[in-house]
Amino acid sequence: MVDQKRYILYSLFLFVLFVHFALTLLFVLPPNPVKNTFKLADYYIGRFFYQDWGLFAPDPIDMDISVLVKCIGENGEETKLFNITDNFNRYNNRENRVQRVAFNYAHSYINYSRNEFSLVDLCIKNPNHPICGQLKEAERDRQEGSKEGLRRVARSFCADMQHVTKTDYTKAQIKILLSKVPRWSKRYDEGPMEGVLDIGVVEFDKTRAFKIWKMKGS
Amino acid sequence: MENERKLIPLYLFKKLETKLYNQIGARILQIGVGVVILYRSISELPAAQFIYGPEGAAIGSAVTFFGPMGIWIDMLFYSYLGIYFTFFIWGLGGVGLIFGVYPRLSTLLALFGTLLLELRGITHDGGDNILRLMLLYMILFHPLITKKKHTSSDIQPSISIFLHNLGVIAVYLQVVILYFISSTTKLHGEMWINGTAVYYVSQLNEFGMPTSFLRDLFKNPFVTTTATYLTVIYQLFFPAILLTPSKIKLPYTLFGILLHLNFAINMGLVTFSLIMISILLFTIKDNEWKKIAHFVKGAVPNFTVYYDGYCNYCSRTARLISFLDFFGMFRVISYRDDNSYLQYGLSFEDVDKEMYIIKKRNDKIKIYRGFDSVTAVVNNLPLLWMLVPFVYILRISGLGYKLYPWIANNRMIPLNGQICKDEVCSITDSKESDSKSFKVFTKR
Repeated sequence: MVDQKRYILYSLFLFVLFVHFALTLLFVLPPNPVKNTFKLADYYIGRFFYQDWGLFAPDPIDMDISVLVKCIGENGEETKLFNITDNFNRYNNRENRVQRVAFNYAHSYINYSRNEFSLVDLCIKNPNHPICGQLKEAERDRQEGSKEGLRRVARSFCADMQHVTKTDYTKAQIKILLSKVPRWSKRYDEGPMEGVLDIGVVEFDKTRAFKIWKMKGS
Repeated sequence: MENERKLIPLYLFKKLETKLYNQIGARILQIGVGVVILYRSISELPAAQFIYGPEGAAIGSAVTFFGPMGIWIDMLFYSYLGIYFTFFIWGLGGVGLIFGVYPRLSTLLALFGTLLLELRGITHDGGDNILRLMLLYMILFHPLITKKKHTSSDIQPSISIFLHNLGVIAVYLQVVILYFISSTTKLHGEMWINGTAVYYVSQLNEFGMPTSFLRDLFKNPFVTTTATYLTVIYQLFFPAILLTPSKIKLPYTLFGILLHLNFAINMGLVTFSLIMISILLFTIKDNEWKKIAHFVKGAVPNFTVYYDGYCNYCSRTARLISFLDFFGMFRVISYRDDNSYLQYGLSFEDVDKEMYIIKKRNDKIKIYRGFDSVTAVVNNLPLLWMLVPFVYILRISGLGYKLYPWIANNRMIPLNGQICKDEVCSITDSKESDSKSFKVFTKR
């Protein structure tokens, strides 16, 4: 009797394990009819056990992303445009999590998320599809979130700058510099192709200097 | 048992509740995860206020995971103290996992920190993703795996063992899903199909090769195409390889480890690579670890050093060798107490004349004597490698061979041959059971 109860419990554990991994697999697979009709995987795995195993797939990143910031004072004083993702932060190492903050916000600003990516093809083929409205909304939300993140990064950078120049900065201009690796066929003939995306001028309240960036005189 | 075998579920249950699978692998995974957490908590701490703090760059919230309760959890990040507290708890979990202290509690603390920081910040990558999931499954690991020695009587059929094995299965399934999805997604990418994907990654500042030489190397078609296809093939076949015999699986795992070491060194994906290497080591079963240990034991030589236990500085040298021998390759024996040298065709007069070292690798035996034995010690103790050039010069100049006999012949030993300490040798009269100490030395 005791064995029986224990075995029922074991069966239950194995069933939970099976369901968990069935939902995991469903969540990480590309869109398919089962996934499209059965939304539990999105809710259960997406919320509690989120995972994304693209890992440089389907195509790897082929451009460097840099964040450029110009601090602007109340009376119009301006700094030059700094590449804040360059190696001049104090905590620079090969795996640079500080650098990643700005890099990931910028990356998220310009790239579709994996969920959006699956809808892009559909909307290119059929722009009037009702799902395209959702795609635009998701794109706008993502870009607003990323811009807010970049604003916070710029705010910290300008606070560090203020610590050195003793000038109050209340705004910043943010740009994203994209540097695309030359195509394989042009690898010996061309350098990286550069482009700048202007995010605009953002305003911010004062914050303390974290002294993340190594500024002259700091 | 035969009846149970017929009832497959019952047989399976019996097996899963009686034997702890992947004990060594699970322990390695705990240590690997602990090291990653400790590394991150130390390296991110100085910039923690910027990355996660209220006035910093983070905009994430625990609400996405915990619902309305997340508002309360977010409060941890609204104060400087709260962030340091989170880091402390997180790091403590990491340390606990490394040293195997309260493993389940440590796993919970580590999971708590990992989850909160991931929800709050934006710096996470695939490595953090797998780290969090591993921690979740690791909660099920049995605390006994942290004990160096435990007997079979310590392991009684129990739910706890069943849950451990469930955790082991979960880790396997998760890593199979990871590689399966990663490889099949790559097969949708044009760059992976046409064999140029690695070229693009290698040229980036963010993940690219650290030197221009290596960047140029990946402009070579053979290098890039081989690297690209090898990466996809490795990932694609990984799930099937887990089911193959050790002869195939172990070299494949070694290749995977080298691949991830390359990601760590050349692409800067340190924590991702560390956690992946830990998972790869996890997939090696206990009996395979035994085979590896046996192989390493055969490949690594062991040395027996015969020294004069009556001679003070000889004893000190022997103690020093033992102290510096981190890998346990040396066994130091006083020939005064042990005549095992006889089995190697040596006489008391031989070992009394100069130091002898017997080197054994598999069934091969090599005997070093005199200054050559000094060379063998220096060459095989990593902490003495700085002396290698000095010993080499003594050897090729012939000076070492002249100097050694002089030192050996002039070593001081007590007249009565008692064990000496601090150059004072005690002579004990066993009949009277009182002891006297004398400074009684003679040159050999």
